[in-house]
Amino acid sequence: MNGAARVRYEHWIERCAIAVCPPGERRWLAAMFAESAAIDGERARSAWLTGAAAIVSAAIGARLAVVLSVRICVAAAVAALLAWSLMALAYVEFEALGADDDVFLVASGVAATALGGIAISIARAVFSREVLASG
Amino acid sequence: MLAALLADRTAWRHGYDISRETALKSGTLYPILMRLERHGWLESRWEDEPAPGKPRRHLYRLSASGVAEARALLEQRAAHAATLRPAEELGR
Repeated sequence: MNGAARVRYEHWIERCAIAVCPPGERRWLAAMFAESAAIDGERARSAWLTGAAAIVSAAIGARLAVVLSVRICVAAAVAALLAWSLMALAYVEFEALGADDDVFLVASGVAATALGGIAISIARAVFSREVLASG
Repeated sequence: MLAALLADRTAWRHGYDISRETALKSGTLYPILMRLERHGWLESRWEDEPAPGKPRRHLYRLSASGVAEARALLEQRAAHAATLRPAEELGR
């Protein structure tokens, strides 16, 4: 990666990291990235940015904790289990109770869609303004 | 860290300077700085004139209440350490 591409890449990473943090912590993260530009030596700079990454992951974790209720976790686990087991049944061409193996494949698709829906709703909730404000 | 900030309480310090002096990694240092500011112990501002080609850096120093609280805390810790010392000497 050349110098200009690297600067662009780092800038993009920085903007993403700041965007996922709650507003109260964005200034601090921006400060950490600004500080990293003043650090000489790749190793020291990487160590510094690892700290920034730790703060970002802690912020995301805190937001997930706010969003994820037991009910959502159970629904996601059930949907994932159903999608996986029905897919496995279709894969081994299991046919029983008068049902064709394609039925299991379709049911697996439905469960996978439900799982996708749950994942999208979690992602939307994580990045919602309300959670951003409370995070 | 409070001792480091107290050493020259009027000077504005960069995060990296504090990190080097206290040997705290950035992932540990900044949450502490955030908490200190939230409690009103720390003042922060952006650099007025950054180095050419570099972004503006964030500067920190203890606030007046932070200085008082930090001094009290460090004195309390020193007093506590002094009470422990005789016990340690007895244990040798």
